[in-house]
Amino acid sequence: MDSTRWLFVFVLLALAYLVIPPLFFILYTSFVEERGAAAGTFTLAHFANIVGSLSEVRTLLWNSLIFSVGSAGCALGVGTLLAWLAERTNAPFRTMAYVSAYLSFGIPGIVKVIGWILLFGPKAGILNVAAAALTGVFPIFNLFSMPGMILIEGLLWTPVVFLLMATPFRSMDPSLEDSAAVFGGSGWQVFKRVTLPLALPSVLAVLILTFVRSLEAFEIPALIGIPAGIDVLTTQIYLQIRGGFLPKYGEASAYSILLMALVGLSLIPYYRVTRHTHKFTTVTGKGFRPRRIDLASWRWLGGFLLLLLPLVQVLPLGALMWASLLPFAKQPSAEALALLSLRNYATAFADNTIVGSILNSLMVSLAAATGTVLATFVASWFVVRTTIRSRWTLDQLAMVPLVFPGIVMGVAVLKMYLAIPLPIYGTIWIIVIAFMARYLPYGMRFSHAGLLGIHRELEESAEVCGATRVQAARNIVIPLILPALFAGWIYIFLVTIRELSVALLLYSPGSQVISVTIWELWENGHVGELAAFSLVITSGTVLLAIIFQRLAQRYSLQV
Amino acid sequence: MKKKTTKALLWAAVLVFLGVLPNAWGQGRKPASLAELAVYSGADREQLLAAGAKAEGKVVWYTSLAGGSFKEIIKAFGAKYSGITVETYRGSSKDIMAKVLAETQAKRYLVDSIESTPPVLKAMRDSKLLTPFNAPYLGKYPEQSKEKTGKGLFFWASARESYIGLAYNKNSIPPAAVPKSYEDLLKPELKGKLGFATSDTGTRVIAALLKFKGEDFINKLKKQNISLFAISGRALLDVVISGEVGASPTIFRNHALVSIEQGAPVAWAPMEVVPTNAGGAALAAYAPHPHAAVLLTDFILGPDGQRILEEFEYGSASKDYGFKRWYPEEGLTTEQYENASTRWDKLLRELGRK
Repeated sequence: MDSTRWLFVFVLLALAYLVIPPLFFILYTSFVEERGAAAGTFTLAHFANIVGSLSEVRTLLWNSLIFSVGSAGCALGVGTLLAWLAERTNAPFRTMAYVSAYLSFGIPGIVKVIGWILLFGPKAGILNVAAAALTGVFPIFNLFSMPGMILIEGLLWTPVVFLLMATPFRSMDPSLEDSAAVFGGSGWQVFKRVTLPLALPSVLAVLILTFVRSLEAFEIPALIGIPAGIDVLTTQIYLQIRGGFLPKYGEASAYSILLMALVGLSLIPYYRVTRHTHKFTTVTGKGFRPRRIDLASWRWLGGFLLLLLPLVQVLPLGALMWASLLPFAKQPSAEALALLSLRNYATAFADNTIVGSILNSLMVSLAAATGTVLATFVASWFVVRTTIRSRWTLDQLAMVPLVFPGIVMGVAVLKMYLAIPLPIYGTIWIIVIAFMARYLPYGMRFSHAGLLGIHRELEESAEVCGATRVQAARNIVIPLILPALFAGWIYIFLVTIRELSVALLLYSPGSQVISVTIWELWENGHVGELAAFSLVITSGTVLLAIIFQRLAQRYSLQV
Repeated sequence: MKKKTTKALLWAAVLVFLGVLPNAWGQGRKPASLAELAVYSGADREQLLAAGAKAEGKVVWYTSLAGGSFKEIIKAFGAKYSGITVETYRGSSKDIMAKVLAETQAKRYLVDSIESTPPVLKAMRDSKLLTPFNAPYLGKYPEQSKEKTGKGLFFWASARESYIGLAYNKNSIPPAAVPKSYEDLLKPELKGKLGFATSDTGTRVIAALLKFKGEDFINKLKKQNISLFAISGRALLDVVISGEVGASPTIFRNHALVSIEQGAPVAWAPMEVVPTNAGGAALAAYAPHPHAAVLLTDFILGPDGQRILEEFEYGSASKDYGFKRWYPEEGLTTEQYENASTRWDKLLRELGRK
């Protein structure tokens, strides 16, 4: 076997190692007895237990679906409207909307959720109390409800939808709409018959994507759903492990399989839709700028709506800022102003565990992003550039983690390293491995797309001039693909540094990461310290997002 | 002649040396293993442990203490014994149980010293995950507060007691509506104002309701529109202080007293029975830092730790506070407790379901 084949086998084994054992352990755990004399024997009891309380499963499925459909619909509606306003109309504050949408990537989800709870808690939320004084209605909005969960999850995804939808709006050929107008179509008809069908594949893809992401969401169901008495599948999995006296991994795995099946089923139409996107090509070589609609006097309303995007980022952070300066939760008042101090910042950063978690997070994200990008680059090089017959397995393997919601990956990796004798349980490396497995598909997509953009001719000419396969890859492909890999690296780094659900079941003392520290502080009731720590962390991650964005612009990358 | 004398002297020296040496070893041999350290009663116990712990450099502590007390203990321990990092995992007893079981299964033992409730400690004892210990200061502890091994040693000793009762926000609950007993939780004025913690604090209150009031009562309580919070009892108290929840019967007396001293607008009242958490301190069987493990456990159970816990208003098994204590795990084996606990959890989840 030549060196290329050896490398192929090595990458295949590495991907298989990341993906297959977690899948196996989830299945295995759901089918074996956990404790007692019969431990390790086959059983259907875990499934029987969850199906036994059929009404409960039905409630869980129903809640999960309502929550996900609602959030996806909310994010899609608002995000698309804003993208249209920003790209196709003359509404002001476009740049602010874009900047805040990008920066929202840097703010950890758990931080925003806690900010919203401080604002809209039904009895003591700052805005609810303030609104009561003005309107006499109390509470004006109860966050601890299904609509509350949907709204916050929807707002969390709005910036993503906004950015995803802005691209098709920007690149839509206006000549299509113009011809419709020339043939006498009214504004509505043009929208219905031309604009909408053109945007439909993107809309559908984004809808499914946000639906699946909401199905996998953990922060909002845990922090808002549990107090509201609204359980979804992800929180049910968590509660099976941490809600009872002894952890029930069997039931947790059975619920995990149910959730994975749901995610898997939802992804099928996603791939159907995205596979045929070329039919709806709206990007061509023609240079044009889409026509902007003059909103006339409605212009300022459009501008106001666009300002919502920065507003929903700033509001929760503002609430945290207020909480970070107070010894205990208090409404803004003269009395409260007298209590303001920076004490929480001092306490938070005097704590070794808290400071240590920052270093751990940096280390974990650095390692996970680098590892994932390296592995997926080599894998996609084999897929795109070689003729090895079984190369498709790499592609398939790397896509498997798409059906693993974060919390399920946590359960799976935990069970795996509890069973096998590799001593990484209790270290940060178990989190690194779980992140690598979870984000393989994303790394794969970045490097795959990057490689497709580099024509084979370049390598072929190198080979003609006597270079080996590997040399051509090293001297030609790698330098050209670096920007795409860097973009993938940034993405994975930023996503993992704020990720909670994977790490929550895997951390130990000494291996806490940032999001887990925030979770612990919340659970333990140190809201002031939590707010102080969260704000400092958010400033850091937003700064990183800005630096990365700048770099990406300089090298004209798509992040 | 001279040679002979020298030779005899040499022999004598060798004999004396050989005779004395084992004795000297016997006297000077210091305990080194965890089991030996845990029961060592020499006057230099503390110095010996401190020196060993410093060399080990760190100690891993799992605790169910919430609020400021565990941080204060870490701080005071660090001030007394410099150079030893305390890595802490603070979690409910459910979290600690899951963690300890996972470590045992992975055979990767991280924990040195544990402070948690009897169900966790009993389960650990049953799985041989605790090291029996004894120390001079334990002589002062009342007999019922120590879990005996039967050989003059102990699995754990109760470091503190915490009492679960009702805390309410004085601004949101009118004096007439303040519950004096569990029955009073059904008052119409309290509808929509009650919150439960889903940690074991909440579970144990459900246990008390089930035992003393019956399942029907819990069903009636459901109509009061209860909110559940997946946070510790300590964190839920903050929610009561903020006014977000009017009252909660799942609040520890000590946490409430500390907040009241700081001027928080809350009050705490015992119900007809007070579910009690006796927090025991114990040594892990496979503590990776044996000296530091014993040193920290000594610190918690000794005068320094006890003083801090008293400052944080934790109770003691030997004092009377004028209310009736009830220990939900009393008389139950680990398995019975697990089954009962599963049922309580289920009832608690149903209580909050909308």
